[in-house]
Amino acid sequence: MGVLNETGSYLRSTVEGAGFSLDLLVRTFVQSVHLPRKLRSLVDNMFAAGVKTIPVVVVVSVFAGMILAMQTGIELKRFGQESIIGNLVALSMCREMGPFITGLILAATVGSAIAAELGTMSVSEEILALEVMSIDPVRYLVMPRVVALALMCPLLTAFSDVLGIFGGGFVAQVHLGVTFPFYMDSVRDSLTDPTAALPKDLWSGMFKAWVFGVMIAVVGCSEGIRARGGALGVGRAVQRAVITAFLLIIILGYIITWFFYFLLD
Amino acid sequence: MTAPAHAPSTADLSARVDDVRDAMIALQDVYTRLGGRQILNGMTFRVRAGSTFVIMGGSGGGKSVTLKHIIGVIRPDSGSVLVEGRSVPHLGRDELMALRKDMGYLFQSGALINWLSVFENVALPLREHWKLSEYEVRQKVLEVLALVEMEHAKDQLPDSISGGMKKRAGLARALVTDPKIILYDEPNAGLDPVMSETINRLIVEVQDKLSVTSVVVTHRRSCAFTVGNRIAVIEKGRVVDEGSLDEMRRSEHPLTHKFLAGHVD
Repeated sequence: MGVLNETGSYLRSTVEGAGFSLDLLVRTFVQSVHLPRKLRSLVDNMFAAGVKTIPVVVVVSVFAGMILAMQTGIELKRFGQESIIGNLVALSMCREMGPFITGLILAATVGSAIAAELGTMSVSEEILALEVMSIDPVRYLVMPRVVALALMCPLLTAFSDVLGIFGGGFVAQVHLGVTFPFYMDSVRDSLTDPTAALPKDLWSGMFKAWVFGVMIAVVGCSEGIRARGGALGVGRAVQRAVITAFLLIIILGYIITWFFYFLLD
Repeated sequence: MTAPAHAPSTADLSARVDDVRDAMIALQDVYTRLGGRQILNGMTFRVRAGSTFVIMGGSGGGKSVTLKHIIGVIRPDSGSVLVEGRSVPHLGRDELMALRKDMGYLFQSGALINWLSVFENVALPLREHWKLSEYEVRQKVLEVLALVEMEHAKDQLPDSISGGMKKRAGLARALVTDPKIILYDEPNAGLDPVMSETINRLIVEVQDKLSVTSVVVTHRRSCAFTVGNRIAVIEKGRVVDEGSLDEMRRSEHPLTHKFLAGHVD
């Protein structure tokens, strides 16, 4: 009976949490009409989400591109196909690795910070104080954070794509014997689509990054607002925010890839 | 035909009708269960316009929950909560927001937004709701900060000021929109006797200058008898004794005796 009760209680809280997050997402979109009045808060949040995470994005993206080029380059070299390393790294970075790396970094740094900040506000009655002052917490706290991450995640992803490609180029030149100009030509070829101004491999990756940005902010805000029980409750909220965002990055990443490359093709 | 002995007389009924009509705040038979516990258990009282009504009671007796019913943060399971004749639990979101603009709320901790200075905290409701120029906002904020003797700390962040200063800043924020009703949740909690006296004096000054209707929740005798016009003693979610200051001093109710003797936490 105890196990059943625990399982039931866990499922119930999970469904309630998902419902709260979806409701928060809808209310955020509704409140986004007030964005012009929240520009200062938006810029502050964009700075916190974007600029402060740049060093981590730089290091992780460059090394991810280098590892990608090295691992695939070893196998390609066995078949004498190392010349296509540029295509492979560019497509992998733009379609998957860029959004994935940026999403994970933002979930671990900014998503957790949002959950901690709003969780602390929740347990110290600051969010309740906003409500009793007739200030909608979604408009004042949630919307600027969601918009900031929705803008910064694609921008950081584009930055990550470029850095990863350059990291791969370094490995191609040093370890695989592919000259940098040749590598960049193959990158350009793979990312150029004569039928479209922006190739699908780029915009599908940017769309994925946008979805990740919105999701990370909404999950962080949702867990933070629902935090109860002092410092322990805030800690749990941060933990849930990071785990949920990580899981959703993997699951949504798969669904978006399936949608663009299997369903639409 | 004469009325039965237990029935109220016509004069009594007439007096009760007048009482309800004059009441700024009226709770009638309010029952609320939260987290599996019966918190309010038939809470009934009325607060006349322009008076200060004190609710005394031990920890966990339902004092703060009562205030949250008045401001519409918690809805009762049954019973009525009337503010200015409007049934708070039945108000829509917009009506509730409008009602809250007429109310100020002083939280136990002050509940100041931690990244805003004292000045910015007090200015927050003005900037969100009132269409004032920055000069007018500044004048209004400095006026209320002077009233609570906090002008010197206007640029400080909440983390760098004492508990008593946080309460005074919270009081300034509650007063800045010229509310008709102010709710005080344990205004003396965690303060030394000197600061408690300062807060009590401020509550009385605010009452004298602004003629607002106030509800003060406290468990301190000195606060209750300094600021109150009427006092209700509550236990297990209901009023067990109520009267004017003189009536309460003469009361023979055992719990009132304990409070007057200072034997209740």
